[in-house]
Amino acid sequence: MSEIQVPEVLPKNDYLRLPPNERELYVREILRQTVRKNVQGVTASALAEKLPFDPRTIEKHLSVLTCTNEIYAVKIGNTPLYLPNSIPIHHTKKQSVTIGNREYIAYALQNRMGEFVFIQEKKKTEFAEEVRGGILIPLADFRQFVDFMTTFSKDMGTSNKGS
Amino acid sequence: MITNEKLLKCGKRLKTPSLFINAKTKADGKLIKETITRYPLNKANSGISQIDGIVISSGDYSAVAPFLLPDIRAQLDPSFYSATKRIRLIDPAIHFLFSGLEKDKDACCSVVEEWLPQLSNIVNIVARIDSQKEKLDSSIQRIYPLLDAVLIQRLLEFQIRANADILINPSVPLSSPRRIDDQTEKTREMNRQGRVLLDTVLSRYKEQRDLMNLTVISPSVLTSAYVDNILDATLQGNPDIIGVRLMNLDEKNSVEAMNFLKFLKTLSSSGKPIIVFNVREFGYVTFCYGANAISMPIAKSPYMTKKKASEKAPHEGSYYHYYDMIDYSFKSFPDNIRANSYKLPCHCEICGEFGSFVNIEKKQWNYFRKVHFLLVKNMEIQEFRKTDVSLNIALKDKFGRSQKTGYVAFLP
Repeated sequence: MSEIQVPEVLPKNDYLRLPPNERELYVREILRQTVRKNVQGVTASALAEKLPFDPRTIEKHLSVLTCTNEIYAVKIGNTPLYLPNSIPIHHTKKQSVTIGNREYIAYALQNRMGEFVFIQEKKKTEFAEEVRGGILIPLADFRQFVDFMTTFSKDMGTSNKGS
Repeated sequence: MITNEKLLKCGKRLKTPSLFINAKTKADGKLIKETITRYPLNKANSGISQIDGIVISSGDYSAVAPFLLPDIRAQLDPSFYSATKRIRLIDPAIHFLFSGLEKDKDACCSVVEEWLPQLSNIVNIVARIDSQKEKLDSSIQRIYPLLDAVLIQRLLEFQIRANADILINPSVPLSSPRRIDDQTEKTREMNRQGRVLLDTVLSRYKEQRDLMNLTVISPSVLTSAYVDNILDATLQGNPDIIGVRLMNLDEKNSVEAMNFLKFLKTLSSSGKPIIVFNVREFGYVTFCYGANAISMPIAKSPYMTKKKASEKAPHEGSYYHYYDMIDYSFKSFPDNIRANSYKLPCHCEICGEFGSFVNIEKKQWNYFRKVHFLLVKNMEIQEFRKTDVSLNIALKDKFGRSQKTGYVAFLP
């Protein structure tokens, strides 16, 4: 595998002195940026080699990023290869709505598995944005998903609330 | 001259050329507020509407901020150019930890005290060292390690909370040829860290605020041996805007002044907007070398001069002469205008109100001369923005008719 590209990072001593919440945010953002920079994919061991973080920390954050669908993993043999999930098909296909302190963003994106609609939930803190979750729906099935949500909304009796 | 504009991430516009004003004290804040509100009195003048920015050091912020709150008049009259509509810069100003007045050191320490209680003590110990050489070595050894990513993060957060329109990366002064390698390395590290922090833990603001690398520099280090290293440190972390704060430029030393101007010219080739902090009329020259904006203190020298213990600064400050472009002390000013029956040699609004020097009471003097300074600086910048010829020609003309003819030699 070719040399992976990493963003600028803080010296290890400095990052360890960040308060715990901010340290988590920081590590996750650096991993997010690193995976984005390496569209051909990266392994956890390559990240551990290049970044000043503990391998267990890296694995923990990679699994969080995978759960929130910001990245996805493809197994090559026994080794998971992490790939960025956010390659928008077209920039105009991004819309967001803010409800309270949460922002829901819908992207149309493409990865090697196909085309998807990616819905992401971000929570705004005072200084940062934290991704709280995300789902991927195949573009071809998106209409079916919307119909399902509409039916669900009607069943819940929420379709006219708030209007 | 056509004025260029750059749209900042905060939505405000940085015009070229622009003038920013340093607000240091409660009195400065009050003065700016009153001058904005009171002038213009008539359509022929423009008050201080050409002054586009206010610079406050973090240590002075609590004193100045109450005067720069949103103004009710701005809501009633959308065209009213209130303080909040102007570009607001909060300079972390940690160079005061290394040099400067004791009160500035204390103010700077008080900002970071909450996160770094030991800093004040160490800064005081270092400040008491007599030998300049030992003081510098000790500050590098003892203060530098405390200036870490956590402190940078807190200072950036401080600026965000204070509604700064451009975030300024804190950095150490580049002042000594002997220790320039350590100083540039620390500057480089801090600039890099500031960018990483804005992109990660402060990510909410990375698309809303421009990041400025502010290099604090003494012209004595701007020699060919060090300049590449300094340029590299200044551009670390890919800043959106570059700031340069000058420390004690000796304008009579033409080599130093020219070195500084060449440095600016090279910096400007990066294509990033440049703001030069802490200059007076010399700042106008920097417009011809790539500076987009300059900041200046209100009616005083931007540089520190060492005074003998017996020497006390006069209570009545100096008056800036619009045509001569120099400051006249309270004592020498009347002699200068005696031949003209003490008529004030200026057509700004406050000079028009008083008419003659004899009408100004001593207790009104400092207030008068500061308002006059703001109004005159507004007139000057308006003159440069509206000139039909190129800026260097307009400046040659302005300096050539003043007492600052020496500046003509610097103009391209």
